[in-house]
Amino acid sequence: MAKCPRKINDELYRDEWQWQEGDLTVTRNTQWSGPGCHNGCGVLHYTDKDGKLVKIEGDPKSPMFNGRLCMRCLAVPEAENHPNRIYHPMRRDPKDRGKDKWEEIGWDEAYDAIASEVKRVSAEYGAKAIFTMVGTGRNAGWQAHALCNSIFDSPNVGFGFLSGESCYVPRIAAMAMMGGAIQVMDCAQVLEQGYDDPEYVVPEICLIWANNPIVSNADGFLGHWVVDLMKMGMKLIVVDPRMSWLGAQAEMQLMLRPGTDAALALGFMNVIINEDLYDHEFVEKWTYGFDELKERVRDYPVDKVAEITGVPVEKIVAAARRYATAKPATVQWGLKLDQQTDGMGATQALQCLWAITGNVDVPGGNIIVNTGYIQNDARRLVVKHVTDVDERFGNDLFPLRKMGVTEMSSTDILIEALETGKPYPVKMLYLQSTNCLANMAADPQRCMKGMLTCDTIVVSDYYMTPTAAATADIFLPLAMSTERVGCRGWYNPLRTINKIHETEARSDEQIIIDLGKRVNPEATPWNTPEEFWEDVMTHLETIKVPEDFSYKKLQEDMYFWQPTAYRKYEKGLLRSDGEEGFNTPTGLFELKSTMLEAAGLDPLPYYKEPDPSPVSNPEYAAEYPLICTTGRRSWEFFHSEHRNLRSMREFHRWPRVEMTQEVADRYGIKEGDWVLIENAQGSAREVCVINPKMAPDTICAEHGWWFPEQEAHSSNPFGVFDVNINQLVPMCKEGPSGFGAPYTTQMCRISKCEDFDPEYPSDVPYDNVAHFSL
Amino acid sequence: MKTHGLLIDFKYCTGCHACEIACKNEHDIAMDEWGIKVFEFGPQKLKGKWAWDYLPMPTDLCDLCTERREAGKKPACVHHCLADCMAVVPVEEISARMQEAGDKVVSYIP
Repeated sequence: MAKCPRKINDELYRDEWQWQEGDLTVTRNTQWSGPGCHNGCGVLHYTDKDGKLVKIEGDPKSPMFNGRLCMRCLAVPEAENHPNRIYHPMRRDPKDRGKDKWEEIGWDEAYDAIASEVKRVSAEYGAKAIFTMVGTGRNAGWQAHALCNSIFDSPNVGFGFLSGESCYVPRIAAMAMMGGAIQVMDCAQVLEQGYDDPEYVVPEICLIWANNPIVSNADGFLGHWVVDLMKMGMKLIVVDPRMSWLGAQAEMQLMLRPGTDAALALGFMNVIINEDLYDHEFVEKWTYGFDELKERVRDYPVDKVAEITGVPVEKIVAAARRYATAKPATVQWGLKLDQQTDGMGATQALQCLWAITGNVDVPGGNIIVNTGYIQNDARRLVVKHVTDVDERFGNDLFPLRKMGVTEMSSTDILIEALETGKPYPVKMLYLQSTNCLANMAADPQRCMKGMLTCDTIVVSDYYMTPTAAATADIFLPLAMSTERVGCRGWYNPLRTINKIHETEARSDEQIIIDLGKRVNPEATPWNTPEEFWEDVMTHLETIKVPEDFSYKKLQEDMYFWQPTAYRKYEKGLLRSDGEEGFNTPTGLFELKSTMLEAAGLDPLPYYKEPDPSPVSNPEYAAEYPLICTTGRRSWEFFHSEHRNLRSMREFHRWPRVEMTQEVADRYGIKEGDWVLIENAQGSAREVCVINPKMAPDTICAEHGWWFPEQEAHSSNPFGVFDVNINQLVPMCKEGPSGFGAPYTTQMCRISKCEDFDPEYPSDVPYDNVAHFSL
Repeated sequence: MKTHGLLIDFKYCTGCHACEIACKNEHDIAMDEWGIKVFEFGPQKLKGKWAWDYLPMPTDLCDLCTERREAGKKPACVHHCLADCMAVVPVEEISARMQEAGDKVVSYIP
C-alpha cells in the first residue's frame, strides 16, 4: 500500500455542502472550534431533525485529509452534547469568586453588565486598563483582537499568561525577519493535486526537530502527512530527547539534552560549511551574511557541541552530512524551540540550516506559505486603528515588539502590572477561550492571585473550567462546532465553517457584534456573523478572488484554491514592490538579520546555556538534578481540553510523566506509581510511565491537566493545582528578544507520591500499567 | 464463506486509536469492550535496532461493517485510519496485496 487508492463513492460523498441521508442531514464542514486542534479537518456532520449532532465522520473529499480523522474529532458529538455544557450566561458577585454562587442571567443582562464595566474602567483608568486574553489559535484568534482593539479600544490583547509568547510566535518572528515569510515543511498541502502535482518532489530526508508531529498536529500541519511521505520513500532523522514512534522508525535519532537545540544546529552547520556541503549557488545569489555565519559556526566545533548536547560526535557529523546531501531535504520543527529562554537562537540556526542547503521554497523543502490570511481580513474589517499602541505591555522594553513583530501584549509585564499597578493598572480582564490556569500560564497560582486583583473578569468558554470557577464574575457560554459560522484561511484551500443548528450559546463573532452595539456601534454595523462574513468577502486584501465570490458561494463550493508557486523569490511573488527576492530589508534571505541587529539583539544564530541547568547552576542542579520537559502531546487531548470526555479518559485517565527505568529505580519509583515532581517554585503529581530511551536525567511531564470530575468551587478548583506541571515554571523569565520562556528546561527532583490517589467515576477497570502507551 | 479480509500494512500504524473509537461509535460498543483493539510491541531493541510496532486486531464484534459496505462505504476503522494503512480486500486478492505491501503486513478474516 505505497499509496492507498482513494476511490470515492460519489453517490454517498457528494460535492455539494449539504444533503439528506435517510433521516439524517449530512453537512460537509470544517472542524475548527474547540475542543480540538488547529488543523481544520474536513468532516461530515450528521444531524437529526432537531439539529442534534449524532455522528461525525471524516469527509473523503477533503483534500489532504481524505476522510481520516483522529480520536478527538471522532468524539466531537460527545463534546457538543455533553451534560456539562453551559448554555446560559451566568453572573457572580466578585466577592464570591471561587464559590458556587452563580446566578443565571439573560444575554442582554450579561452584555449590559460588561458594557457598563468597560465604560466605567475606561473612564476611570483609560481603556488600556482592560486586558483581553486568548488561548491557542483556531476559530478564536482574530476575534480577540477585534474585541480588544476595536470594541474595548485597548491595545492590550495577549495570551493567557503564556510567558514569552512561547508558542510559535518566536518562530514566526524569526521567520518574518530572516526570510520575510512563514516557511513550513512541504507535504504538498498547498497544491490542489496534492502529492500528484507534477512539480511536487518527495523529500529525501525529513529532519524532525523539537516535536512529535504525528501526535501534536501543530499549527495546521497534519502530522500523518509525514507518514504519507514515509510510504513514498522519505527517510527520517529525529532530534528529540525522548524515544518516539517516529524516532524508532528513523535512520538516526539524536537525543539531545533539552534546551541545547541551538548548539546542535550550529554544530550541523559547522560540519556542512567546513566540509563544503552547502549550496553555493543559493548562498551566493540569495542570502545575506554568509561570511559572518561562517565565522559564527567556527565557535561550535563538533566536539564542543557533543559536550553541550550529549549527542555523540559521530552522530552529529553523520546527521549533518545526510541532511546536507539529501535533495531535497526538509525540516519539520516544533514548539520546544519556542519554550526555551533563548529559543530564538535555535530558531535562527534552523532557518540558516535549511537556507544554506538550498531548501528554501523548493519542492519538498521548506516552502513559503500563506497562513491566517482570511482571519487578517476579518480583523482589519473591525479594527481600523489601535489606540495607545506604544503603551502595549512590552513595547517600551523590547524593540521587536515596538517594531510590530507581534501584536500581542506581554503577559510577563501584565502579571507585574496586576501586582504593582506599574507601569499602569489593569482593572478588567476578558478571557476568550483560554483556560489559562490549567494550561498555558506559567506559575498559575501567581497568575490567579494577580487576576483576582481586577475589578471585573469575564470568561467565555464551553464548560466550567478551573479558570472560570476561580476567577470569573461573568461567564459567557460559547457556541461550538456545528453551532457557529466562520472561515478558515490556512495554507490552501480557503474553507467555511457551517452552522447547522442554533443553541442559546453564542459564537465569538456574535458576541463581538452584540457588545459592539452597546460600546462602539460604529465598529460593528452588522447584525449577524453571516452578514459580517459576507462583508469580509467584499474587502479582501490578502487573496485575489473572482468577481462573483461571496461567503455563501464559498460555503456552497466548500473550497477555494489559490494559485501557488515554488521559488517565489525568483518570480517577484514575495515583495510588495514586485521585485524578485525576499521580503526583508536586504531583499535577501538574511542569515544575519538586519532587523535583529537594529533591535540590539544577536543577528546571528547563538546558543546560551539554559538557566537553571546542570552547567549554569550546579548548586541548584545538585538539589534538583533532573531536567523536566513539558508540553508533549497525547492522542486523547488537545492542551487542557477533552479531560471531561469519558471516552478519552478511559484511554488516558491520569497525567503521565515519562522517565527511563534507570531514573525510576534511582528514586524507588515503579511504573504506575504517582510521582511528585517538584522544584524550588512548585510541584505537580503525575503517574510514572517508563520510556526505555531518553536523554540522561530527563523526564517528560504532560501539561494541561485538571480533573473535571472533581469539585469546581474550592481553593483547588477541579484539582488543577495537584497536577498542573506549569507550577514548576516561572513567569517573567522571557528571552532577551521578549520571546521564548523556559517551559521546557526546568530542573526538578521526583519522589514516589504515597498520599495521592484520586478517583474517577467509572465502572470500567483501569490498570495504570496496562493502559500505558507512550 | 467470508468474502473479504482486513489488510493492515502495520509498519505504518502509529497507534493513534482512531480505528478503536470509530468502531465503538459505529457499533455502539461499551467502553470496556472492543470491536478492534490496537496492540503494541516495543519500544525495544532487537539485535541492536529499535523496534516499535502497533497492530490493530479485530475482535468477535467485528463484522467488517457489513452494513456500511453494503451501503457503499468503507468500514469505520478503514475510513478513519490516520496512517491510511488499512483496507478491506476481496479474499482472492489478499496474497497479491500483501506482496505489494512488502513487509510488515497482516490480513484478518474476522
